[in-house]
Amino acid sequence: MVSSAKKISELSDSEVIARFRLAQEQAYFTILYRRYAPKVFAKCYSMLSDEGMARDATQEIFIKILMNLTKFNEQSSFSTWLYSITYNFCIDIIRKKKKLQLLFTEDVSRIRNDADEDISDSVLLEMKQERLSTILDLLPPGDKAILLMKYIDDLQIKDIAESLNKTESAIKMQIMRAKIKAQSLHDDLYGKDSIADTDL
Amino acid sequence: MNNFQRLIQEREDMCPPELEFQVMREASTLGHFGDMVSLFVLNTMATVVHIVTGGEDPKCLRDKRQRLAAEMDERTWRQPQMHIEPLPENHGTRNWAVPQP
Repeated sequence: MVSSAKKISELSDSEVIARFRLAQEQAYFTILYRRYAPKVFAKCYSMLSDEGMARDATQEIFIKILMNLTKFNEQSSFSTWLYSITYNFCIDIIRKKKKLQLLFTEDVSRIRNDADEDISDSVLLEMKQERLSTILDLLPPGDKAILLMKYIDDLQIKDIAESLNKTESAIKMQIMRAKIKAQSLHDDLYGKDSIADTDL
Repeated sequence: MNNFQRLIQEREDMCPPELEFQVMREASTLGHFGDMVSLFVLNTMATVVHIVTGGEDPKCLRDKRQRLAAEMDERTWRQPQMHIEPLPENHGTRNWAVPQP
């Protein structure tokens, strides 16, 4: 059935959620699923580095969203809320699987001597794609989540901080550490070869 | 689009289409389960509380007793049915057709 004002597919996330709350019809949940499932899957795959685990995690995350959709208070956008649940869910899986693993890169000075120097965003954004995939898999899960939130989801620092339950200054520091760690891994794996993809 | 975005886009394209069916099936099951809980569990809990604490019948039991009382006639419900329809004439006989050579 087509809305007289808008097609269902043109409804905003807030409108879809409002209609779902009124009618409790699965069709509205299906709309949200189709909009966000690929993005959630991509994040799960990036965090967990395993397609099967990413698939299971995506399914569980959407069921979790369904169970809590009536409680969503719209203080943030639906996508921010969904991605926050996604990253924390994946971090919890990794934490349970590998109890001793560090979640975040901790001590910058162990990696570089000039730890005060900030690293350009191009370290990540222009890195050759296959190398980026390898390095992303090697980063701690907390670093991966922060980099994905900043450079793919384009979230503000305050939203990232709220999602991961950290302060904004801690997140800024962690972004810098993650970029330094990425560059260090690149140097270890590929030598001092240029990071930038000259095919761009 | 930078390489980081391209990498993530490739991973988005890997999302299996059959996953939607699995998610929606689980969502549907949860929906039915929720319907059953609201239909039966609440009344069951009220009945259990009544059994344990006594007192006036809960509404679900009062409604049922009234329905049963309306349907039953105390004088006749124990007595077997007296009027029996006669059996048809060919009841119990079989016509075995002998196959022709």
